[in-house]
Amino acid sequence: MTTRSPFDPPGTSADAEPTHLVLRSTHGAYSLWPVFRAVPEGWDTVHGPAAYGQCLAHLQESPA
Amino acid sequence: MTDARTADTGTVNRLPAAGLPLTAAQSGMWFAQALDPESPAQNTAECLEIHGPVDPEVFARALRQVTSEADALRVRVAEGDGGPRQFEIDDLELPLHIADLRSGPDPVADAYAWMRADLATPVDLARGPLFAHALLRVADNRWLWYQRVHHLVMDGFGYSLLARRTAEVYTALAAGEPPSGSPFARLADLVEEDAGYQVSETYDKDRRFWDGAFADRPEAPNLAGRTALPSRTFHRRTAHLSPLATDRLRELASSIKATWPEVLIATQALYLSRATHSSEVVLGLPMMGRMGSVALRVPGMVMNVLPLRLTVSPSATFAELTRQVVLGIRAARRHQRYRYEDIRRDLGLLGEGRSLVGPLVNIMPFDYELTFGGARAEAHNLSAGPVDDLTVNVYDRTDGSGLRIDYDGNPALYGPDELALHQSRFLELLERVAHTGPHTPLAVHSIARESELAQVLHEFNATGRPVPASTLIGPIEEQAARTPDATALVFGGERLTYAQLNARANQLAHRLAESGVRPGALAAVAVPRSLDLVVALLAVLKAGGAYLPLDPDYPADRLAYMLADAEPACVVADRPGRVPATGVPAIALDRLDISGYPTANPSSAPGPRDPAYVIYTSGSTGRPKGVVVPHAAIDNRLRWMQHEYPIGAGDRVLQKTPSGFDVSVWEFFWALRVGATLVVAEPGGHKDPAYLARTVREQAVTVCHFVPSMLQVFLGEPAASACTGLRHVFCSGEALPRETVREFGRVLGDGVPLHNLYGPTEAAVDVTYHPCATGGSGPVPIGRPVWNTRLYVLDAALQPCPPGVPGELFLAGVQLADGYLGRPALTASRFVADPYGAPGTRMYRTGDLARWTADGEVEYLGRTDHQVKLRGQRIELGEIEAELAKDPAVGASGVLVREDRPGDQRLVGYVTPAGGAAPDPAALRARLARSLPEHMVPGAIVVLDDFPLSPNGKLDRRALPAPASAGTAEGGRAPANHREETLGRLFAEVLGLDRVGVDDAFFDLGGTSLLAARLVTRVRTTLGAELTIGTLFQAQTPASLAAQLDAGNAASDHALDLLLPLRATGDRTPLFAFHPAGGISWCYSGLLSRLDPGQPVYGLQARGLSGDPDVSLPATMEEMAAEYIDALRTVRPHGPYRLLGWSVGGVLAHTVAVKLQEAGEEVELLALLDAYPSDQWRDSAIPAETDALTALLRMAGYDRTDELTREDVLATLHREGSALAGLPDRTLSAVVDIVVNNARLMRAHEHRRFEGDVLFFTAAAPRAEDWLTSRAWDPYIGGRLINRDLDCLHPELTQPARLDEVCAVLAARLKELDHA
Amino acid sequence: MAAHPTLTVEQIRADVADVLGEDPQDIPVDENLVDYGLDSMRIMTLVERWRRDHGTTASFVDLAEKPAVEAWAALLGAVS
Repeated sequence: MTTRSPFDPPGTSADAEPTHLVLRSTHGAYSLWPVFRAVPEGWDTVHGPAAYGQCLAHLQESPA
Repeated sequence: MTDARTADTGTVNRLPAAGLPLTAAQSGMWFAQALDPESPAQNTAECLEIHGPVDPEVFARALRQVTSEADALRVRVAEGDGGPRQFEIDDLELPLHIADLRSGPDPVADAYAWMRADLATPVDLARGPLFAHALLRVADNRWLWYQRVHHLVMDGFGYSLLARRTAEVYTALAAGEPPSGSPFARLADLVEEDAGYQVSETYDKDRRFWDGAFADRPEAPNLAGRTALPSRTFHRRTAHLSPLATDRLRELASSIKATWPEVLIATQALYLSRATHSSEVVLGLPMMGRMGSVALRVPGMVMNVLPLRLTVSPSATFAELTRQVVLGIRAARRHQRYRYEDIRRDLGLLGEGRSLVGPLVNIMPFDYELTFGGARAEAHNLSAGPVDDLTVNVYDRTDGSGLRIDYDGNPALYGPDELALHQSRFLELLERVAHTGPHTPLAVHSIARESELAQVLHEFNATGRPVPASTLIGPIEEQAARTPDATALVFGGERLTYAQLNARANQLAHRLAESGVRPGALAAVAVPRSLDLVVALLAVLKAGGAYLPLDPDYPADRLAYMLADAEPACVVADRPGRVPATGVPAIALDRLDISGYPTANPSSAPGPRDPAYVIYTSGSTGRPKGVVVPHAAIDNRLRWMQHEYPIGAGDRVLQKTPSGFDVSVWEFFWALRVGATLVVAEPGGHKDPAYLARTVREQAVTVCHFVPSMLQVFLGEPAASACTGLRHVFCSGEALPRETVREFGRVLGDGVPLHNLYGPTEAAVDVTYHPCATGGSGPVPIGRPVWNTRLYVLDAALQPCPPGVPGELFLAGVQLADGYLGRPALTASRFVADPYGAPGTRMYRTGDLARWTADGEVEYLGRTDHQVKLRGQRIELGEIEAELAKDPAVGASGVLVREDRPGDQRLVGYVTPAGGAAPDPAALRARLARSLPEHMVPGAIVVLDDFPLSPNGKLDRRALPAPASAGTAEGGRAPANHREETLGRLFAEVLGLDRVGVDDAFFDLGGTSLLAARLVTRVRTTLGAELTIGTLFQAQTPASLAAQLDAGNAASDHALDLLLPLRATGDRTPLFAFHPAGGISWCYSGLLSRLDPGQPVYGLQARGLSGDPDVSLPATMEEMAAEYIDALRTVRPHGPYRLLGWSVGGVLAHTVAVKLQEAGEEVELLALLDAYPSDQWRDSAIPAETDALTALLRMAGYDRTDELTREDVLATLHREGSALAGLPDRTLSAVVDIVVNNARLMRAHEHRRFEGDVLFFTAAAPRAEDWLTSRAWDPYIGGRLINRDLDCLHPELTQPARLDEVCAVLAARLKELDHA
Repeated sequence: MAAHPTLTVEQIRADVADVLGEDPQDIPVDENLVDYGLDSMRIMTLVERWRRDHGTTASFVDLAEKPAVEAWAALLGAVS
């Protein structure tokens, strides 16, 4: 079982690629999200597409 | 290439008399058959359905002609010199079976039955023939021509050559014309060409290419999830892709510059990857391998299987995946002559039974537009050869019927239904792929069928249920109003009714509110299990806050970290000093007077969205994180539980799980919401199966929980079988083994239901449930979702997995936690958007691998990462590894859970040096113990020079070695000389052990002073050497003792020194034990084997024991105390100090403690064994010598009987083998004097106050001095006196039986201090 | 019956490049096309295409025997 979770950091070869988004729901929650899936209903993109690390950094600043 | 066309049908191109060698392709088949000579699996067969008249006579002539042209048909294969060879069969008769089946009721069925039976007949390779024909008439103008050939001599392309030639010859003969010349080349040409390749440079290049491409020996996942030996038969399911989809597929292929087989292969790779949860897959592609070769014109066995590695990622497009296939095949094709079997051999896979590839995708596009004398024919394959795992055979007969796709499966791996399921999913996927633009990410595809999507998303998750908007505490308050006089809580002998509990909790709640506990705020609770713990939790909730449980056993560092991280409004503890001081206001319950607070429910009730509790879990990068669970989540969980397992007034729930583990939440609160009784186990009791069994019975417990590994231990306890009064037993926290369920049924019968529950802390305790059937089999499922909860098993693209397919388990619904306290990025990466729920909802990714069963339960399959569960406790191996790596001596670290003995799981750490001196495992463990909870400290740490690496450079965890057993006698070194060996033997003899290693310490193994005396005697008689006990105290192992004997030091008298190092080694804070009346501290040697081996123990002994007349005895207790302080400061210059004393020693200890405090030092432990302050003695007479003698006897552990004189006493001592008897007389005299002196000093002493708690042990059996009471210490103790009664007399307190009890309490307290 | 246009060497090259997804410039005339990724499927595609568009009669085996543009040109009677 070699699959990597889409919410874990991508392998080193892809870590600068814009593979992720930061979403925010209508309820104010935040979510990391992979670019390859459509954004679910009730969520908006607030950052990205950007590299995984960048998305995490953006989330660190968000209100908890 | 020899031109062998000839019109003469009589000419037979015979093989040479010596036969021919086999080609490499044929050898592969030969060896495969040799594995199971009776297997018919290598028979391949085809049936051509001819629509029209057929003349069997003519057909037979045509077959004879073709047989004479196709050399490969005429061989038999037998062992010759140097291996198997193929020989011409002499006098070969055409094996042709002709039958007219028209008269039967179902001629076609009969025909297929005959054909299958023939196919199942094993072939004798050495005799031959290796082929057979049949002409079966099933209707007036319908004939089935059956051709069966052993795979060793024919492959699919060969069949097409034969079929075409047969049709050609038959048509000519039927028309009365001579057939054209043979189009075939010779088998010998094929053999020669192959032989040339085997010794060519191309061969070497090809070999290097393949060995390089697979050097890392990748796993080749397959749909069954396991491998099996090849079977003798196979299951086949035939299906067709619709003509429309077939056309779309061709157009799609063309648009992306690929062929439809490549598109089909890409789709199979996509299916395989999602169905096995693997991004790396390997397909096997049978290749005809005849391009540019003489083989194009030789019917024979040439085909080879090409392994194709592919990476399937959700973000890639279908076009990109197909391009990967195209380029991959292109690269492989350049080296396609190198045999698949040889690649396996080169990589060493044969011995391991490992496969190089997953499924095979066999494209057979051969154009079969054949006519036999004008009658058209359709070809049907009956067998394409052996099936190791799964072969997908695809036929494009270009007759407009769409692609035919056969799934051939190994019956040992796939049942017919399973095969059919994989096939129909694949076909649906092909349809979707054909109708989807190829430039969208692959993530848009799921491999589940429409019907399966409906099942896993909706049917299995139909758990919606309206629930009132209540909280954890609301229903408890309501219950208290309904049944105020019912028993709510039981703890030991104490009881609280609902009204009492509610009132106390309310009072405390009002007090907590003053400290800022309110909705949205946190209150840490660090209270050992007791009534107060429950009161405290309720109080926090009533004040509206969320409780943060702090396990008192955690190391101080961890507690401090949690407090700093969570920033609670206050900490509620049982006593001061329970948690490290961090600036968070602390409320100590033992100091608190809540009587003035109102007993009414506070008005600051929390709402459903307010947090109810915060529980910390292990963090993978080294920092634990707090999970915030709101009231609505846990309320749903408890309401569901009550509905599913209704309990009421007669039920008693056992609270035994530590409060820092979320299972405890339902233990604490469920009963109180429904009028049942909560029975609180004593601290530490949850680990003692005998205690649990007793408590369950005595307290009539009806509901309890076990972590599966603890349940296993409990079931092994004899008293467990009497616990049939239980109405529900719940398991959660780890995988529940089926064997444990069976054992449960055996021990407790079928009357006690066992339930398996599952859930992470992040989803309010449990989200699934499964009632266990004691007679069941297979893995125990974790079950169905609870109320208002949805489970998703998702693949790498976050698409739903169909039942049976493994994926990652995601949870959704009302029970999700709010997130991690203060960790917005972590929260957002684990609580993510839910694409299948209501808009704006979230799902939590568990990191657990799971799959749905066909009937809607979930099975747990393992982790996707490095989180483990050990005895129910969740541990991130990364957290431990991070801690290890912090040590400067450690270069790299790794941690594993090992199970080297079945059922015995333990954590083992591995480190490599940072470059300097090798790290010390004991020091590392000690370091970890200071910052990690006990269950996360590895039992062993192994130092390696280097870590074993896998070919791709990662730590190869499977190659890490098992730690050498930390044995004593097993693992220790051998005796170096006769003395060591003898001493080891004597030790064992005296101690009653089988073996004692040369480095084992006497007192650690359970030696007492009594046994020490015996040893001294044995040594004297056996070795003729003078040994004193004192030497034994200093040199406690056979090895060190032998050294002392060698050095002539054996008769030393250090045993009488002021400071006696009973155990000088160990990294804990030393314990100082003060002598009793006689001035000798040997009685404390019994502590050594009962306390942690890392706990140093020093005895303080009286000045003057040597009996030297020039040494005067101290004049005051203060003087004694001062002298002892000087002595212990040589070992430990500064505090904190741990002090203990028995009898007079206790009084001394107290005096020393006071003086140390006055000097500004900290005394963290003061333990008194039946010691009483001076004012208790003042009124009794100073002992005379007889009293002193009595005291001497008492000191030796005997009560005075009728010995009157010093001589009598000495005789008694000698007779009883007392260690004291070995002392010189002047010492014994000194002892008598010391006894008298101590008694005098003690009576004269004025105590001052010790600021702190005292651990007190009362010899509570009735005694003459019945006025002695520990309360006499009250004026001289600033803290609490924590008393434990022992049912014995004073002199018996240091005897083995009592010491067990004393040391159990002492050890526990020491451990608390160690971790504080 | 309309006559088929004659097959040219350049057309052969272009068709081979097309099924391979490559540039005709990159297709050599005298080398083994199998080394460039030509497989039996693609050869059959070409067999059918040329039969349909140019009325050629060569079979799969004919072309598979010597898979090179030059050899095919000779076999199929293609003009330069």
